[in-house]
Amino acid sequence: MAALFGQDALTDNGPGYAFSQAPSSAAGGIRERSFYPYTDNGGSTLGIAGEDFTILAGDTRSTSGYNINTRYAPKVFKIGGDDSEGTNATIILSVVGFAADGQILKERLDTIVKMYRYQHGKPMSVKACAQRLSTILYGKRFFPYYVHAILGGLDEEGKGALYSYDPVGSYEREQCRAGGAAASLIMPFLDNQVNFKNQYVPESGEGHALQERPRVPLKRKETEELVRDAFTSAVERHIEVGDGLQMLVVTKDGVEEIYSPLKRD
Amino acid sequence: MIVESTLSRRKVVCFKSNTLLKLSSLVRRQLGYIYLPDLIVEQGNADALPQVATGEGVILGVEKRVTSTLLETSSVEKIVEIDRHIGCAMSGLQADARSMVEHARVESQNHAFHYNEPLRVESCTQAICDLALRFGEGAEGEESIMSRPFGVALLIGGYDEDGPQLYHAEPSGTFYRYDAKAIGSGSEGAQAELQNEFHKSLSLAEAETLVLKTLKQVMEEKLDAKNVQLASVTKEKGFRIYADEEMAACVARLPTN
Amino acid sequence: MNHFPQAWGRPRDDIYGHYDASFLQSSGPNQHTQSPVVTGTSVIAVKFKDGVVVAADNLASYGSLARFTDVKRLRTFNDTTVIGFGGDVSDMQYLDRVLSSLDIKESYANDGHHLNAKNLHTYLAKVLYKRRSDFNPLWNQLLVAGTDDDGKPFLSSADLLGTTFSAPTLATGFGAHLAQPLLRRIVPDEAAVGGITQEAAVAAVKECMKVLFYRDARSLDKYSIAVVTNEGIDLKEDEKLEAQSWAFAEGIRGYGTQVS
Repeated sequence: MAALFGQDALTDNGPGYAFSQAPSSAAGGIRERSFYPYTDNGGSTLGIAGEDFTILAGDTRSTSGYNINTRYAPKVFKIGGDDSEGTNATIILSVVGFAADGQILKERLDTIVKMYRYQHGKPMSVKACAQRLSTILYGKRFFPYYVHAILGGLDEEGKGALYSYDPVGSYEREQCRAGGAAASLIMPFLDNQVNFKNQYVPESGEGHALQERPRVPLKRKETEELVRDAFTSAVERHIEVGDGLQMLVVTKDGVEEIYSPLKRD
Repeated sequence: MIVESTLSRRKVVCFKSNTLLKLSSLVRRQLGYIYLPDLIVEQGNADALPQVATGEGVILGVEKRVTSTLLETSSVEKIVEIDRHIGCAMSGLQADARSMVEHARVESQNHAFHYNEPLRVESCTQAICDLALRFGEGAEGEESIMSRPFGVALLIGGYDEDGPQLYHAEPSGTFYRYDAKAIGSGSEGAQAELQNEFHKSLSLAEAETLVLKTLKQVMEEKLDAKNVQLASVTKEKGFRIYADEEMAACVARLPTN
Repeated sequence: MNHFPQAWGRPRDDIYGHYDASFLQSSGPNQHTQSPVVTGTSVIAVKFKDGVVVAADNLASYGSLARFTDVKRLRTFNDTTVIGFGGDVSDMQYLDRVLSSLDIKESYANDGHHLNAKNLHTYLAKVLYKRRSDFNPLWNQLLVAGTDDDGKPFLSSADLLGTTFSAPTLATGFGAHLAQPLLRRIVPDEAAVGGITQEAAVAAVKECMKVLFYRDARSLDKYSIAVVTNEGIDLKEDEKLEAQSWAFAEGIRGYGTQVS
């Protein structure tokens, strides 16, 4: 029997059924796991804060590798509205990256904002919401929500407010931010067109004497056009961006949704 | 007798003069929980705590009963800070108040951490009152964390985006908002005085005087700068307990009679 | 003769070497599914004006072995919803049990309220997301078909990562490459759904099943097809591919014996 089951010096304990032997090379200890819990669903988002409005925009394509999952999957959401449609919401959120995490993140933030209203008897400010979103993301520091989030709304003075995040909760208030697959294509364009980077007053001098073009708050109309230009350009150069452009615009009158088609190639 | 049978020696010693524990054990066994808090409110407590909310802020005042000439009055701590913008005064079992205040402090810090804004005074009061019914085992037989209900009433004063506010939190877990409120042993008389004297346009200095005057009326001892304590919550300075010199100045301002 | 039943049926160590029994060890870390074992291939579905058509073949493969040839991969839920499963078959059967107990639990309420396809899709997506977050995934991609709260056609996907998306046409696995483009030609967007009849949808799906059988090596010519509308579900589980033509094979160049 010993010969039959290779009962050897290693494990001479009792009857020799195969599985009482010490595991050979594939130890019962650490095994490499092949399941990777993330994926990238592509797409791109962008946000711009204006004088009295904030725009968040995202394309509506969802991808898996070279496949298009769907041509309409929204990435921009209303947060803390009265119902599932987000009626009367004043805060908006865009998420891009791993769509399942984005969905869950959006749902968590939405319920928190709703609960806040019940518990404190007032709507949550964007500033408070921004901080809360950061703590949510950091709460999963060691198994992060794999998303680039942008939060938009109006601040206490009614000015456009925009906060952008990394996946683990670092955040910053900014004038504009692009996120997702085409972020690196859109962000430099925004730097130039929103913050007037590398624009100087003509004839103002040489070298260090050059005067930067003074920044002026953007108008709603031109901002929308800027967003559309950014996306039509991104669609041209990035395969994961396309199909449709969804924009949410927060003003003192509420949140307005604008959809326009993009190239589907 | 019930006290002896259900509680440790140490606790009996601590609360020997208080009928509260007898009531709580008794009621817990015979009447059910819900009636108990009312009974505690009726118990009455040592001191009057008139407080007034004005347009500029909230004034909290307490009598520090000096039970012995050997007592160091500064060790009587009946007004405490919850956060920069919220303070509270207590009447009843001060040890109970400590755990409530601790809870409120944590809640306030948590709120600031999560939301980057100060906790509202009402939310803070609600957070404290949420603790009130956590005594006894749970409905599904969960371990109890508190053997009996709290035996302390709080006056919570604070300043937030809605201006100065004053709340009275009862041991039953209910709370109400007041312009001026007195609780504790002389509270009936004190409340009547506040009823007569309070008006919406009271300045902070007038409120200080009103609080002291009210205290003076219901105190057995003669009021002086040592046996009363004032604190204020204002927009600019937040919560502040008055230092000895300020107390002396306030007392000096009182009309003599 | 070995008298220990535990040892019966094991390969002989003197011939095959030590039997790797590491998977039987109960100590050590919990072992979760790291890859699917017995798998189903594509599921395809398309919306039409009154409902949804779903189809999947009846094959469960063990690697490249066509292991079980009569596996029903379309499951129904309280006569309103069809769920098509791709991926691991044992996880499919587990989810089917989960759904059965959910059905029973919901029936106890006996309030006339029934979960529709949309509710069910949300539920399944949460189950899948929870399991992926526990690093213990249910290795499936599923299509949920039925009608939503307003009685309009509903079709949505959920996969082992918890990712969800919805479109007028959906296909999993190989179907995402081969069937989806064909279906999108017929129903390019949501607006086109209203113009598609049931017959057109069924014909399109059947055509896709044929293409998939031609080109997907892990597929079968026996399949299930379901039509789900507000009137109920018409599920056929024993369909055969019709009108196959392998004439196209003659023209294929570039591999096998015909290298040029």
